[in-house]
Amino acid sequence: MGTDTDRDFAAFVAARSQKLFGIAMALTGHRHQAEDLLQTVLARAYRRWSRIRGEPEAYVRRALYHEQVSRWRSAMHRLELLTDRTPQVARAADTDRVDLGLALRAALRRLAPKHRAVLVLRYLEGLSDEEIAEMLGCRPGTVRSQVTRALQRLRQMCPDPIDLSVVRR
Amino acid sequence: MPSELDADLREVIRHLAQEPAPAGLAEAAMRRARCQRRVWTAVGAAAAVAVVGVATPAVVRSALPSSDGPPLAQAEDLPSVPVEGSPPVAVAGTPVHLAGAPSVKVREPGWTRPQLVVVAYSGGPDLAGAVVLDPETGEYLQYPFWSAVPSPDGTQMIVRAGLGTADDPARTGVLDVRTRTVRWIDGLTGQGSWSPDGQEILLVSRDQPYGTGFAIVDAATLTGTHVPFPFGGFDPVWTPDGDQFALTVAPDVVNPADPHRLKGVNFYDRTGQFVRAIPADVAVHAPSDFSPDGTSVALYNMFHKEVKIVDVATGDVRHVIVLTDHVFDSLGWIDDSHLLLRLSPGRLEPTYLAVVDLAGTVVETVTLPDQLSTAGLLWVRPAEGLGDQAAHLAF
Repeated sequence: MGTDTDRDFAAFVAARSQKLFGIAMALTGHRHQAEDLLQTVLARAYRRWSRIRGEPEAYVRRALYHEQVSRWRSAMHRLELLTDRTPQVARAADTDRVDLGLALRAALRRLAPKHRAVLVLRYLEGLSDEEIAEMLGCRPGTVRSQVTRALQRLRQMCPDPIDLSVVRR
Repeated sequence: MPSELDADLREVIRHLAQEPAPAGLAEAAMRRARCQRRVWTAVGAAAAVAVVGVATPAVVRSALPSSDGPPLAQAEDLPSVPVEGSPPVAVAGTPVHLAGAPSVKVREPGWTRPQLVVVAYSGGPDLAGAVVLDPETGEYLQYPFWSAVPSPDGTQMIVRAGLGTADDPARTGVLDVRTRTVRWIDGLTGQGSWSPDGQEILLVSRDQPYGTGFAIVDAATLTGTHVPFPFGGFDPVWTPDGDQFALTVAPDVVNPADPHRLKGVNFYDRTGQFVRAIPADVAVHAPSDFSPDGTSVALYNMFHKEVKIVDVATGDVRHVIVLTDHVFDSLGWIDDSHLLLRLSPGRLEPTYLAVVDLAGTVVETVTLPDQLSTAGLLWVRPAEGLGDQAAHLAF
């Protein structure tokens, strides 16, 4: 590619890398996986840079969510998930706030990517159900049901005192 | 109100997101993209007769609005430099079979239009090169170029190649669709813009040997003069009269709360001298964005759900076409009151074509086969002049 494109692209990544890597971290929960996810999406964005008009950040953010969901559908990544270290389930008796955070973090890693994606969009990006639906290309009702299932799953993996509520926006 | 534990979940996710980003992300992504590109090129080059090297999409048809420099002014006070093209060399294309044909669904009773045909596409997710229609044989041929932009009469294409490195400079050329030969101009990049009469090509440069500037090149001889000009991220496009070019301009100071907002469209004469400006918060992308009568221009930002029809003389917004799907591209005007748009239900979803009127009514949709629906660039022309073997491609 031309130097001009490289310059534009590098400037964009430099300005947005922390935010984008943060999303990738929240989506994967693992630094190496986050880096691989973000590089994959950025490489695709770079190839299509001339076509990404006006909103490269929006394109990359959306691509991160879609890539994370789609890549985990592949057999290879399913295998990675299965062979990953299973986190310990938190017990109520020894769960103070630090433990709760660790338990939540571990439980998040065990969520299905689509469930994790809706939680990241809601809790990290602060999007409404309608905005999440627009981002993921589904209906708001689907988003609400995914959030509900995700929180139910978290409750199962992190029993009392975790009592996560579903907050409608 | 969120519960306390709801807040805990938010805190955990935000804590995860505070992990410091690794250094060199951009470089790593570019390396990865180039490695993939070399794989594609190896496949494409094996079928090519002429040595065409590794192609690259060197132009920013539109890119991140300028946030790292001053707004565009006019031609710099530097000497102009002559440019010259090479003799034609043969290039072979590999036949591509489309997975189906465009399927038209008229949604407004009584709506009719001239037949169209897809003459070129490029930039698809699994596509190594640009695909060009041979209007005589009806074959779609894949060439090792990054893009192919058809001339107004469809007989020639502006094509691009080269990595932009010292040993593989960015090159722009003109492909003769019938003879399957290409003439190259080294050092100039940019997707290129055909003059309305098809006699000239507007090309830009943002690197050595010319530096940042543009050249208006005679399409027949590929000779012209390079003019230094401080381009930003957007490429210039010809105006319908062929006397000026239009350029989207970013704000002098970028608003952090709305960093992608644009400032307007500036018009320059053929020497690069500023002529006038109109305000606009969306961009002009191609000469085909101007209406047939030349009084309006369709402006849009990719992935927005609206197109603004702006008075070319005053910048007044005449119409705002509000759509339910995202605008991926505008392919041109069918007539003075209908636009052919490429839309997408989601930003990563396949695209389809839609003819919309200025009130936003979708009068027709066209479903595209996979290769076309996922292409980065897609070019459509009137189907007139197709050979008998290509007639079935018209829709």
